Amino acid sequence: MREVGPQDDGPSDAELVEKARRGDEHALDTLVRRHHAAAHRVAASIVRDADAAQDVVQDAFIKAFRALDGFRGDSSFGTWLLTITANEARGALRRVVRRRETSLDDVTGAASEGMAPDSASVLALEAQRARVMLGRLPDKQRLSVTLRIEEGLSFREIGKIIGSSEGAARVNYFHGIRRLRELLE
Amino acid sequence: MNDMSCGEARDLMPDLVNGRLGPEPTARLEAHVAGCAECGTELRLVRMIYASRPEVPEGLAASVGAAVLADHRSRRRVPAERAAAAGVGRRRVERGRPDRPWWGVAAAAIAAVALGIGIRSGPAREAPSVVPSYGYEVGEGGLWLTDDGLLAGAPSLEGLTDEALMRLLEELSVESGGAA
Repeated sequence: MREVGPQDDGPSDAELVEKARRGDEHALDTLVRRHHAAAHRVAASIVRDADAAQDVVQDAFIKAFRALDGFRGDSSFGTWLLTITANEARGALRRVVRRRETSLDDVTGAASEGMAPDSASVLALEAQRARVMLGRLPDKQRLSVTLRIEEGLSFREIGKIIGSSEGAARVNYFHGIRRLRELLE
Repeated sequence: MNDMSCGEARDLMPDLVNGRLGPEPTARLEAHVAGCAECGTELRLVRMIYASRPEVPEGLAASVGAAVLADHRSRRRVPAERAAAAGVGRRRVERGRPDRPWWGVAAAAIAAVALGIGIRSGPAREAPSVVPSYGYEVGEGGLWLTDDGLLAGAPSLEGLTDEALMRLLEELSVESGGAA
């Protein structure tokens, strides 16, 4: 398992953070481009609202950079940022009055309409169903599953983000997977 | 199936789907899944979850980057202005206004009210421009004591010129009948 970090051959996150602390705007921009996608997926996983997720990502980055002097490097910058993002998203979730969530009935209903789907669209439909079911998991299970599968984070990192121990993160992940399998059968 | 356990296989599945698993463990995992229906089902689920990742909106990085830079620049500007106002670093001095802190003026005003005196602004003078209205009076022709002048004015002997002090002593000796 690889920790959240640079996906290219550029400077490391630690180097960028040091430059950002000194006011290097290019370093700030690079950190945004490197981590915005993961932050967006985490935000979307919690708020489940596209517009709200974008707002969460923006607020999380601004808060993170304002608090950069307090970042001690106990975890990677990516894990720290995702922790802030998850907290922001939980706060935003309370403010989201109306959640746009596709129901399982809508998905299965769409599948029964029209021509027989080819194998690619069957796979896409199954993936969509899995996504809908994922939304029905308890928060910590859902976040553990998405952080582990989509971001490839270790259970130690996931534990930091969801405010649990490494063992609890592992349990949440496997409970979530088992529950998804039950729902999809 | 090979020597890989189901537990190890399930642990590695997320790393396989997001491309973070090396060639050797990938080969072992795929060999295990090929012979294990249970793990095959779970790997299919893990692949579906990964495939259904929400798309990142186009332009999100640019908009977030712009917001971050705007916030960063505004925060750099504000401390600089505060430092200038506090007299640190580069200062901007306004003409025609006294260069004193607001709290100093306020403290002086409060002290003046408490003492029952007023404040006059203007060019500095050699002689004090503020004197108590009791105790003694300073007239055009000299120093005149009131009834309680000896008590109230005693501290004011300090700072008098030799000439004024001699005149005061002469007047005192006249008033007391010249019996020195």
